[in-house]
Amino acid sequence: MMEVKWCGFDYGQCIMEPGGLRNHLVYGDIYKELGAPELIPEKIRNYRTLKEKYGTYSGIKEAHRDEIYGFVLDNDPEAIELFCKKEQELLEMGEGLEDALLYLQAQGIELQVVSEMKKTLGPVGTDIVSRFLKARGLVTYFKELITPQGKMNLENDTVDLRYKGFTKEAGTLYDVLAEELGEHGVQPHEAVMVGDKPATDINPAHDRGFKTIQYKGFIDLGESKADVVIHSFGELKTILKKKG
Amino acid sequence: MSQSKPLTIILEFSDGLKAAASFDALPLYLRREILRQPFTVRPTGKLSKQNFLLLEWDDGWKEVIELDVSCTEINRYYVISRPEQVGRLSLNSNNRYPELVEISRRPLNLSKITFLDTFQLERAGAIREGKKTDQFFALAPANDAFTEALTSLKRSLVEEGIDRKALQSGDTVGLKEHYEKIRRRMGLRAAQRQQDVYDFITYLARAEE
Repeated sequence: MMEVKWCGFDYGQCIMEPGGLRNHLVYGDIYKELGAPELIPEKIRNYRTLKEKYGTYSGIKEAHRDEIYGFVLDNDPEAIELFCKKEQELLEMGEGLEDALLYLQAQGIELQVVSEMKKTLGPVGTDIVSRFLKARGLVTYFKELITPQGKMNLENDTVDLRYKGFTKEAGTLYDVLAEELGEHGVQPHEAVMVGDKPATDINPAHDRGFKTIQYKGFIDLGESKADVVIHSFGELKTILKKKG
Repeated sequence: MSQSKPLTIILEFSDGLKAAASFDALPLYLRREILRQPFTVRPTGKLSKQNFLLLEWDDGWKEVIELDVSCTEINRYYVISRPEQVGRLSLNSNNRYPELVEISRRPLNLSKITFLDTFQLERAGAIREGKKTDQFFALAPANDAFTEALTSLKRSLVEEGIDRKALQSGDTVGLKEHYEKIRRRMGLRAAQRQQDVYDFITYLARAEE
């Protein structure tokens, strides 16, 4: 059993699973809504073409979102608005997540989302991560979202800039996190980070003394320095308990 | 693939009507589909190695695809494997074979089907064959969706301030804006062809009280 006082969760492919985000659903719904169902095959083909240019859909969304708007959606504002809406609707929660969060909260373990959030630059509260957390009622568990843009308070939409410019990949964000947790009497070995990506969620956190759990329920990104590997969030109930 | 560029597409109907459109105005997939048809074949122009993709399978099967000359090199090849869900709705027909409608939008979540009468869908067992599972649905009678649609049309006409008689004309081209407003108010979308939803609205507008 791992005894901790704080637990951080990654967002993409962890709390949020993009498996429901299927092209025929996204572009099908958009162009039926716009009254142009005849365009659906062409739009899907264009989006797939973009994937061949940039390698992955997340790669497009991370750095080339403007090309989705231009090459696929013809810069049509209504199509872009629908794209953002549909994208949000079709994202799913990791299996067993809410049950595990309920358990961790009842244990008295502090919960936070720690996201690299490269894909979603925008005003506080309008980004895809906080919109997802709010829409799915997860703000009950996560009051704050730590990102390289700052720590966002999801209840009052304020932002603490102490984290601004520090990233998970470089590990510097975990340095700031360790410092802030220390101010509240929590040492890194009393904190655990849960995520899917060895390079951002696991290895840099592990190197700074955090406990780490690699979640492979959605995607297996290979070996890491994780203390434990899980395939379902339900397993957290048998692994974690509050440190007295 | 012909090297010369098509400019116009003309359709001649049995009543003498001719409809023409710029070829470039057609969706890309349709342009490709038309150019794939044997009747569009033109005398072969200059050809090079760069025009052809040759595929060969482990059982000796070979296929050729003619490409646009703008292609320069292979980027990558990969295969996506996932269990897909496709709804298959078949309708008996006076033709030799049933009509088959494929439903790709969340097929397991389809709740009602109306064809002449309205039916509620209820799960009715599944048959698994290897990696494939057929999930069957029973049809239970439900409230008539046409009546509900007619009520919705009437309400939408009032809300948009559009005269029902105007839509009875069936002038879906001249009154496209009206049709779009009504369609959106009614929450209707076309599955494949936008004209289908406009024709449905015309049908409702003409329906007897």
